[in-house]
Amino acid sequence: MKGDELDQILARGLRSYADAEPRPGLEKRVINRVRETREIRSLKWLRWAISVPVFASLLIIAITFWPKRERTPEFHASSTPVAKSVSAAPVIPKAAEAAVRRPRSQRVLAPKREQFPTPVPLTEEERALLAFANGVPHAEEVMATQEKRMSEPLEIAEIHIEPLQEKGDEQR
Amino acid sequence: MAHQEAADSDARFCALVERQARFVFRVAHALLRKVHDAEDVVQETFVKVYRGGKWESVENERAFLATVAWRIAVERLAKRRREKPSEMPVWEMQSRDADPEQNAIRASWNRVVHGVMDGLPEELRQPLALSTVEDLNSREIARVMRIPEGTVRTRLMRARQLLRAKLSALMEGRYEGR
Repeated sequence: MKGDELDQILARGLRSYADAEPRPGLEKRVINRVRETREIRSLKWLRWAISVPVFASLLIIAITFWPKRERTPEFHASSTPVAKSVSAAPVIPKAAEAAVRRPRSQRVLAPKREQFPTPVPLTEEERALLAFANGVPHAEEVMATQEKRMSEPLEIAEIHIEPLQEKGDEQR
Repeated sequence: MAHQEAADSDARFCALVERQARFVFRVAHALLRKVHDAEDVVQETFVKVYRGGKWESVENERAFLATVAWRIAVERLAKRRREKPSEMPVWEMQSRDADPEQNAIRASWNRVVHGVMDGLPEELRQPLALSTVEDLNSREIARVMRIPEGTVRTRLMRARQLLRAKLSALMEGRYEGR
Protein backbone atom coordinates (compact mmCIF):
# COMPACT_ATOMS: atom_id res chain seq x y z
CA MET A 1 0.00 0.00 0.00
CA LYS A 2 1.43 3.31 -1.00
CA GLY A 3 1.81 6.14 1.47
CA ASP A 4 -0.27 8.51 -0.66
CA GLU A 5 -3.21 6.18 -0.63
CA LEU A 6 -2.94 5.78 3.12
CA ASP A 7 -2.91 9.54 3.55
CA GLN A 8 -6.00 9.89 1.41
CA ILE A 9 -7.84 7.23 3.41
CA LEU A 10 -6.80 8.97 6.63
CA ALA A 11 -7.93 12.38 5.42
CA ARG A 12 -11.29 11.05 4.27
CA GLY A 13 -11.76 9.16 7.52
CA LEU A 14 -10.93 12.20 9.63
CA ARG A 15 -13.27 14.41 7.62
CA SER A 16 -16.12 11.99 8.06
CA TYR A 17 -15.47 11.44 11.78
CA ALA A 18 -17.64 14.40 12.73
CA ASP A 19 -20.08 14.04 9.86
CA ALA A 20 -22.79 12.53 11.99
CA GLU A 21 -26.20 14.10 11.59
CA PRO A 22 -28.77 14.57 14.34
CA ARG A 23 -32.30 13.33 13.98
CA PRO A 24 -34.54 15.83 12.17
CA GLY A 25 -36.03 18.63 14.26
CA LEU A 26 -33.13 19.05 16.69
CA GLU A 27 -33.40 22.83 16.68
CA LYS A 28 -37.10 22.70 17.43
CA ARG A 29 -36.57 20.26 20.27
CA VAL A 30 -33.86 22.46 21.73
CA ILE A 31 -36.05 25.58 21.57
CA ASN A 32 -38.96 23.73 23.14
CA ARG A 33 -36.75 22.48 25.93
CA VAL A 34 -35.43 25.97 26.62
CA ARG A 35 -38.97 27.41 26.67
CA GLU A 36 -40.10 24.62 28.95
CA THR A 37 -37.28 25.39 31.36
CA ARG A 38 -38.15 29.09 31.23
CA GLU A 39 -41.78 28.37 32.03
CA ILE A 40 -40.81 26.14 34.93
CA ARG A 41 -38.62 28.90 36.27
CA SER A 42 -41.43 31.44 35.97
CA LEU A 43 -43.78 29.03 37.71
CA LYS A 44 -41.27 28.71 40.51
CA TRP A 45 -41.41 32.46 41.01
CA LEU A 46 -45.18 32.33 40.91
CA ARG A 47 -45.21 29.62 43.54
CA TRP A 48 -43.07 31.76 45.83
CA ALA A 49 -45.11 34.83 45.04
CA ILE A 50 -48.24 33.05 46.20
CA SER A 51 -46.93 31.05 49.11
CA VAL A 52 -45.03 33.84 50.88
CA PRO A 53 -47.99 36.30 51.28
CA VAL A 54 -50.33 33.44 52.22
CA PHE A 55 -47.95 32.26 54.89
CA ALA A 56 -47.42 35.79 56.18
CA SER A 57 -51.15 36.48 56.43
CA LEU A 58 -51.73 33.18 58.23
CA LEU A 59 -49.01 34.09 60.68
CA ILE A 60 -50.58 37.50 61.35
CA ILE A 61 -54.02 35.91 61.88
CA ALA A 62 -52.55 33.36 64.24
CA ILE A 63 -50.77 36.04 66.29
CA THR A 64 -53.85 38.27 66.41
CA PHE A 65 -56.40 35.66 67.41
CA TRP A 66 -54.26 33.43 69.56
CA PRO A 67 -56.11 32.80 72.90
CA LYS A 68 -54.53 35.00 75.54
CA ARG A 69 -53.60 33.49 78.89
CA GLU A 70 -55.15 34.91 82.08
CA ARG A 71 -52.73 36.79 84.24
CA THR A 72 -51.97 34.88 87.42
CA PRO A 73 -51.80 36.69 90.78
CA GLU A 74 -48.28 37.60 91.76
CA PHE A 75 -46.78 36.58 95.06
CA HIS A 76 -45.61 39.41 97.26
CA ALA A 77 -43.27 38.82 100.16
CA SER A 78 -44.94 40.05 103.34
CA SER A 79 -43.93 40.33 106.96
CA THR A 80 -46.78 38.15 108.11
CA PRO A 81 -45.91 34.72 109.50
CA VAL A 82 -45.60 31.89 107.02
CA ALA A 83 -48.42 29.91 108.52
CA LYS A 84 -50.78 32.73 107.75
CA SER A 85 -49.64 33.27 104.20
CA VAL A 86 -49.82 29.56 103.47
CA SER A 87 -53.35 29.33 104.73
CA ALA A 88 -54.30 32.43 102.76
CA ALA A 89 -52.68 31.27 99.45
CA PRO A 90 -55.13 31.51 96.56
CA VAL A 91 -56.07 28.36 94.69
CA ILE A 92 -54.27 28.53 91.34
CA PRO A 93 -55.48 26.49 88.39
CA LYS A 94 -52.98 23.90 87.19
CA ALA A 95 -52.40 25.49 83.76
CA ALA A 96 -51.76 28.89 85.30
CA GLU A 97 -49.54 27.30 87.93
CA ALA A 98 -47.42 25.77 85.20
CA ALA A 99 -47.11 29.15 83.52
CA VAL A 100 -46.10 30.79 86.79
CA ARG A 101 -43.63 28.05 87.71
CA ARG A 102 -40.18 29.45 87.88
CA PRO A 103 -36.94 27.78 87.06
CA ARG A 104 -35.27 25.86 89.86
CA SER A 105 -32.36 28.21 90.09
CA GLN A 106 -34.60 31.03 91.39
CA ARG A 107 -35.36 30.27 95.02
CA VAL A 108 -38.33 31.97 96.66
CA LEU A 109 -37.19 33.47 99.96
CA ALA A 110 -39.60 33.45 102.87
CA PRO A 111 -40.14 36.75 104.67
CA LYS A 112 -37.78 37.38 107.59
CA ARG A 113 -39.40 36.85 110.97
CA GLU A 114 -38.97 39.14 113.98
CA GLN A 115 -38.60 36.23 116.41
CA PHE A 116 -37.46 32.73 115.66
CA PRO A 117 -38.87 30.29 116.42
CA THR A 118 -42.30 31.78 116.31
CA PRO A 119 -43.91 31.78 119.80
CA VAL A 120 -46.65 29.27 119.93
CA PRO A 121 -49.28 29.07 122.73
CA LEU A 122 -48.84 26.18 125.22
CA THR A 123 -50.66 22.96 124.58
CA GLU A 124 -52.96 21.39 127.14
CA GLU A 125 -50.31 18.85 128.23
CA GLU A 126 -47.74 21.58 128.74
CA ARG A 127 -50.18 23.64 130.77
CA ALA A 128 -50.98 20.56 132.94
CA LEU A 129 -47.27 19.88 133.57
CA LEU A 130 -46.73 23.49 134.53
CA ALA A 131 -49.65 23.32 136.97
CA PHE A 132 -48.26 20.12 138.48
CA ALA A 133 -44.81 21.65 138.93
CA ASN A 134 -46.30 24.68 140.59
CA GLY A 135 -48.32 22.46 142.91
CA VAL A 136 -45.41 20.37 144.34
CA PRO A 137 -44.17 21.72 147.75
CA HIS A 138 -40.50 22.55 148.16
CA ALA A 139 -39.92 22.02 144.48
CA GLU A 140 -37.09 24.49 144.48
CA GLU A 141 -35.34 22.69 147.33
CA VAL A 142 -35.65 19.40 145.59
CA MET A 143 -34.23 20.85 142.47
CA ALA A 144 -31.30 22.45 144.37
CA THR A 145 -30.49 19.13 146.06
CA GLN A 146 -30.54 17.38 142.78
CA GLU A 147 -28.25 19.92 141.23
CA LYS A 148 -25.85 19.71 144.17
CA ARG A 149 -25.75 15.98 143.88
CA MET A 150 -25.00 16.24 140.23
CA SER A 151 -22.13 18.64 140.83
CA GLU A 152 -20.40 16.48 143.52
CA PRO A 153 -17.46 14.37 142.36
CA LEU A 154 -18.29 10.77 141.71
CA GLU A 155 -16.93 8.28 144.24
CA ILE A 156 -16.20 4.83 142.99
CA ALA A 157 -15.52 2.00 145.46
CA GLU A 158 -12.35 0.01 145.04
CA ILE A 159 -12.71 -3.05 142.99
CA HIS A 160 -11.08 -6.19 144.26
CA ILE A 161 -10.66 -9.03 141.79
CA GLU A 162 -9.80 -12.48 143.08
CA PRO A 163 -7.03 -14.31 141.10
CA LEU A 164 -8.31 -17.20 139.01
CA GLN A 165 -7.60 -20.71 140.23
CA GLU A 166 -6.61 -23.47 137.76
CA LYS A 167 -8.19 -26.96 137.86
CA GLY A 168 -5.00 -28.69 138.93
CA ASP A 169 -4.66 -26.42 141.93
CA GLU A 170 -8.19 -27.27 143.07
CA GLN A 171 -7.50 -31.03 142.86
CA ARG A 172 -4.34 -30.66 144.87
CA MET B 1 -41.86 47.65 26.35
CA ALA B 2 -40.36 44.92 28.54
CA HIS B 3 -42.53 42.38 26.80
CA GLN B 4 -41.18 43.51 23.42
CA GLU B 5 -37.59 43.21 24.68
CA ALA B 6 -38.28 39.71 25.93
CA ALA B 7 -39.76 38.75 22.58
CA ASP B 8 -36.72 40.15 20.74
CA SER B 9 -34.35 38.30 23.04
CA ASP B 10 -36.33 35.12 22.49
CA ALA B 11 -36.11 35.56 18.72
CA ARG B 12 -32.35 36.15 18.91
CA PHE B 13 -31.88 33.04 20.99
CA CYS B 14 -33.93 30.97 18.54
CA ALA B 15 -31.72 32.27 15.74
CA LEU B 16 -28.63 31.24 17.70
CA VAL B 17 -30.04 27.73 18.13
CA GLU B 18 -30.88 27.50 14.43
CA ARG B 19 -27.40 28.71 13.53
CA GLN B 20 -25.27 26.62 15.86
CA ALA B 21 -27.23 23.54 16.98
CA ARG B 22 -25.61 21.27 14.39
CA PHE B 23 -22.14 22.54 15.21
CA VAL B 24 -22.73 21.86 18.92
CA PHE B 25 -24.08 18.44 18.00
CA ARG B 26 -20.89 17.61 16.08
CA VAL B 27 -18.69 18.69 18.96
CA ALA B 28 -20.65 16.48 21.33
CA HIS B 29 -20.77 13.60 18.89
CA ALA B 30 -17.03 13.76 18.25
CA LEU B 31 -16.52 13.00 21.91
CA LEU B 32 -19.44 10.73 22.75
CA ARG B 33 -19.92 8.90 19.43
CA LYS B 34 -23.62 8.34 20.11
CA VAL B 35 -26.37 10.36 18.43
CA HIS B 36 -28.80 10.31 21.37
CA ASP B 37 -26.16 11.32 23.89
CA ALA B 38 -24.93 14.07 21.59
CA GLU B 39 -28.47 15.42 21.19
CA ASP B 40 -28.95 15.47 24.94
CA VAL B 41 -25.72 17.43 25.24
CA VAL B 42 -26.98 19.95 22.67
CA GLN B 43 -30.15 20.53 24.70
CA GLU B 44 -28.25 20.83 27.97
CA THR B 45 -25.78 23.20 26.38
CA PHE B 46 -28.43 25.61 25.14
CA VAL B 47 -30.41 25.48 28.37
CA LYS B 48 -27.25 26.25 30.32
CA VAL B 49 -26.28 29.06 27.97
CA TYR B 50 -29.78 30.56 28.17
CA ARG B 51 -29.83 30.41 31.97
CA GLY B 52 -26.36 31.93 32.17
CA GLY B 53 -27.59 34.94 30.23
CA LYS B 54 -24.17 35.79 28.77
CA TRP B 55 -24.87 34.42 25.33
CA GLU B 56 -25.65 37.84 23.85
CA SER B 57 -22.36 39.40 24.90
CA VAL B 58 -19.86 36.72 23.78
CA GLU B 59 -17.46 37.55 20.97
CA ASN B 60 -16.88 34.10 19.51
CA GLU B 61 -20.13 32.23 19.88
CA ARG B 62 -18.78 29.07 18.26
CA ALA B 63 -15.89 28.77 20.70
CA PHE B 64 -18.18 29.68 23.59
CA LEU B 65 -20.77 27.06 22.68
CA ALA B 66 -18.11 24.46 21.92
CA THR B 67 -16.56 25.03 25.36
CA VAL B 68 -19.88 24.59 27.17
CA ALA B 69 -20.79 21.53 25.10
CA TRP B 70 -17.35 20.06 25.60
CA ARG B 71 -17.56 20.27 29.39
CA ILE B 72 -20.99 18.70 29.45
CA ALA B 73 -19.88 15.94 27.07
CA VAL B 74 -16.74 15.20 29.11
CA GLU B 75 -18.85 14.87 32.27
CA ARG B 76 -21.25 12.57 30.46
CA LEU B 77 -18.39 10.48 29.09
CA ALA B 78 -16.87 10.12 32.55
CA LYS B 79 -20.26 9.11 33.94
CA ARG B 80 -20.75 6.59 31.16
CA ARG B 81 -17.35 5.05 31.89
CA ARG B 82 -18.12 4.86 35.60
CA GLU B 83 -21.37 3.07 34.87
CA LYS B 84 -19.97 0.80 32.14
CA PRO B 85 -16.23 0.51 32.71
CA SER B 86 -16.04 -2.55 30.44
CA GLU B 87 -17.33 -0.62 27.43
CA MET B 88 -14.72 -0.88 24.69
CA PRO B 89 -14.18 1.36 21.70
CA VAL B 90 -15.77 0.17 18.48
CA TRP B 91 -12.51 -0.77 16.84
CA GLU B 92 -11.28 -2.90 19.72
CA MET B 93 -14.50 -4.87 19.71
CA GLN B 94 -14.16 -5.51 16.01
CA SER B 95 -10.54 -6.52 16.32
CA ARG B 96 -11.40 -9.44 18.58
CA ASP B 97 -12.68 -11.33 15.62
CA ALA B 98 -10.47 -14.03 14.18
CA ASP B 99 -9.49 -12.08 11.11
CA PRO B 100 -9.22 -8.31 11.48
CA GLU B 101 -8.13 -8.02 7.89
CA GLN B 102 -11.42 -9.51 6.78
CA ASN B 103 -13.19 -6.99 9.03
CA ALA B 104 -11.29 -4.21 7.41
CA ILE B 105 -12.12 -5.47 3.99
CA ARG B 106 -15.79 -5.79 4.85
CA ALA B 107 -16.13 -2.38 6.43
CA SER B 108 -15.67 0.81 4.56
CA TRP B 109 -12.37 2.53 5.08
CA ASN B 110 -13.99 5.39 6.84
CA ARG B 111 -15.38 3.15 9.50
CA VAL B 112 -11.98 1.54 9.91
CA VAL B 113 -10.40 4.91 10.47
CA HIS B 114 -13.11 5.84 12.99
CA GLY B 115 -12.61 2.54 14.78
CA VAL B 116 -8.88 3.07 15.05
CA MET B 117 -9.47 6.63 16.24
CA ASP B 118 -11.87 5.44 18.93
CA GLY B 119 -9.12 3.13 20.18
CA LEU B 120 -6.67 5.98 20.72
CA PRO B 121 -5.92 7.21 24.25
CA GLU B 122 -8.42 9.93 25.26
CA GLU B 123 -5.79 12.66 25.60
CA LEU B 124 -4.93 12.11 21.92
CA ARG B 125 -8.37 11.25 20.63
CA GLN B 126 -10.13 14.32 22.02
CA PRO B 127 -8.05 17.02 20.29
CA LEU B 128 -8.02 14.98 17.11
CA ALA B 129 -11.79 14.56 17.23
CA LEU B 130 -12.27 18.28 17.82
CA SER B 131 -9.99 19.08 14.91
CA THR B 132 -12.38 17.18 12.66
CA VAL B 133 -15.35 19.33 13.72
CA GLU B 134 -15.76 21.97 11.04
CA ASP B 135 -12.03 22.56 11.05
CA LEU B 136 -11.69 23.92 14.55
CA ASN B 137 -8.14 25.26 14.67
CA SER B 138 -5.61 24.51 17.41
CA ARG B 139 -6.24 27.84 19.12
CA GLU B 140 -9.96 27.13 19.39
CA ILE B 141 -9.29 23.56 20.53
CA ALA B 142 -6.90 24.88 23.18
CA ARG B 143 -9.56 27.27 24.40
CA VAL B 144 -12.21 24.57 24.52
CA MET B 145 -9.97 22.06 26.30
CA ARG B 146 -8.29 24.69 28.46
CA ILE B 147 -4.80 23.50 27.60
CA PRO B 148 -1.92 25.39 25.91
CA GLU B 149 -2.01 25.65 22.16
CA GLY B 150 1.43 24.01 21.91
CA THR B 151 0.13 20.99 23.81
CA VAL B 152 -2.76 20.73 21.37
CA ARG B 153 -0.40 20.75 18.40
CA THR B 154 1.87 18.11 19.98
CA ARG B 155 -1.08 15.85 20.78
CA LEU B 156 -2.53 16.26 17.31
CA MET B 157 0.79 15.29 15.76
CA ARG B 158 1.20 12.25 18.02
CA ALA B 159 -2.38 11.20 17.38
CA ARG B 160 -1.97 11.37 13.62
CA GLN B 161 1.30 9.43 13.77
CA LEU B 162 -0.26 6.72 15.91
CA LEU B 163 -3.32 6.56 13.71
CA ARG B 164 -1.22 6.27 10.59
CA ALA B 165 0.95 3.54 12.08
CA LYS B 166 -2.02 1.50 13.23
CA LEU B 167 -3.83 1.90 9.95
CA SER B 168 -0.72 0.99 8.02
CA ALA B 169 -0.23 -2.13 10.12
CA LEU B 170 -3.86 -3.06 9.65
CA MET B 171 -3.65 -2.69 5.90
CA GLU B 172 -0.58 -4.87 5.79
CA GLY B 173 -2.36 -7.49 7.86
CA ARG B 174 -0.04 -7.09 10.82
CA TYR B 175 -2.48 -5.42 13.17
CA GLU B 176 -3.33 -7.65 16.10
CA GLY B 177 -5.90 -5.39 17.62
CA ARG B 178 -4.44 -5.40 21.18
